[in-house]
Amino acid sequence: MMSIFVPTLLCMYWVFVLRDNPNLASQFKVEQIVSYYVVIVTLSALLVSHMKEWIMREEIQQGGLSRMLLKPYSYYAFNALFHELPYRIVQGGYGAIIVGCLSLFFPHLFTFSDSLPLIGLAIFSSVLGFFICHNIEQMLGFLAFWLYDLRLIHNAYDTIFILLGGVNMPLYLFPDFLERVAFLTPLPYIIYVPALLFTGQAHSDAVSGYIATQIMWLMVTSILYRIVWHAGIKAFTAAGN
Amino acid sequence: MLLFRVNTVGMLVSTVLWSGLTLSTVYFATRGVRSVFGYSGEQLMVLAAIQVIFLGFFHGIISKNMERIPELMNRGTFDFLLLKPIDAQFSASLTYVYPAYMVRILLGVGVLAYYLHLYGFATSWFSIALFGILLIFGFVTIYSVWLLVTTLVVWFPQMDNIVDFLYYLNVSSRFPYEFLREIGFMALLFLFPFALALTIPMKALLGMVTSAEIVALIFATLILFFLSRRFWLFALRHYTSASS
Repeated sequence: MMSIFVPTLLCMYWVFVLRDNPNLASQFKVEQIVSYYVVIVTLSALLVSHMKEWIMREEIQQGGLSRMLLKPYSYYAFNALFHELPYRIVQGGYGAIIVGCLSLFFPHLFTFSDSLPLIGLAIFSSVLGFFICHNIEQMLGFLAFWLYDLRLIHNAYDTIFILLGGVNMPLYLFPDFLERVAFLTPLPYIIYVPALLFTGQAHSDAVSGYIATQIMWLMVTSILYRIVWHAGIKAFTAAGN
Repeated sequence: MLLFRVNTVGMLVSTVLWSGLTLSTVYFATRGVRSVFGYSGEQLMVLAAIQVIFLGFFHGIISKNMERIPELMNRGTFDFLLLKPIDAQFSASLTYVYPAYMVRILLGVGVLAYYLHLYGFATSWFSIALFGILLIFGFVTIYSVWLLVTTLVVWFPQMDNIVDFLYYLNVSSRFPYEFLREIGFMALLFLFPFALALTIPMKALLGMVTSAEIVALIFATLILFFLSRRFWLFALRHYTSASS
């Protein structure tokens, strides 16, 4: 409920803006903006991992990681498949059901991509977005191997993600300079790019570039994850870290 | 000692970032907007700056204390607070003050002064004084709503995320109440006090306020404060320590 609240207000704001400012109608349409926010809320629930606080507090500071290190399977795979994915599926599933019902009863309010290959790419892009986010969140949690209080870093990340990740508003409404800056970071590739693909708002010639860049960010964050993980494990002294 | 310093710097940076997020979101959302529900983009930026100032005060004085109430009740340590020879509501609401939020206030004042100067909004000493007085009423209005909601933890001590919900509701004070009026009746019920609390002081500052709006804010403040106080006292009669 809470994650729906702010995007709903912003979505309604844009609907009123378009109503009162016909000059902006050439830039975007009501269906476009409503679809964007509905998809972004659903994808936030489905793809955005929230592991950093848990890893910091339960795993590293309270020593829960010691138990996990003794298990005969990968910590990364366990967290992704058994800790995070079930939450995401349940939360995102609710969102998907709501989107489905809304688009069924109010079809004139939504525009989704009607191309099957593009929907397939959107699903693939969502999977990539999930793992990029999962890698970043875990690395932010792993900083607790060296630092005691991570509130500053976590807060800073959350704030920047809300702004540059397209959570508050579509990046195409930003000034060009800031939009370009955002695309230099991995943040728009977590939910913004999949949202553009699902809503059919991505230019067809940009789609392959988006997917290639997502794969590049997934590789970069995976390599960084391994480096941080191996360095952190050496510094880890269980409870009392 | 080092940890204390790092925490303080952390709070300073964090509060600046959140203020920046509020201001930049409103700035980008009002670019190219001539008018929406009767307000210009610049007037909405003035409202956003007032919200930054307001939240600086509110988070610095009230909200962190409110966050503690579910924890105090859940662990039974609220008993110690009740035993002290001081009003429990006063003590629970105002135990800690966080000076780090002064940065947010200063940032908001800077942006507000910049916009007032840049766009030539006519202000006078009277309008500034009226703005200050009405902002205090707005403060009490939002405090009362927070207290009304937080008091529910007496019956539902596990609802510790209820304060998170209030933080989200605070976002609605970024929009003028005319916006919420257009959304509909349900929004009026839950969000109207939040929007009313800041829109009317903003209108007073810009010389747009009517006497009816001033009366409405004062009336809403008195009613909500009275209700929240009665509800708090009623809840305390049902508080049964850690076993509640």
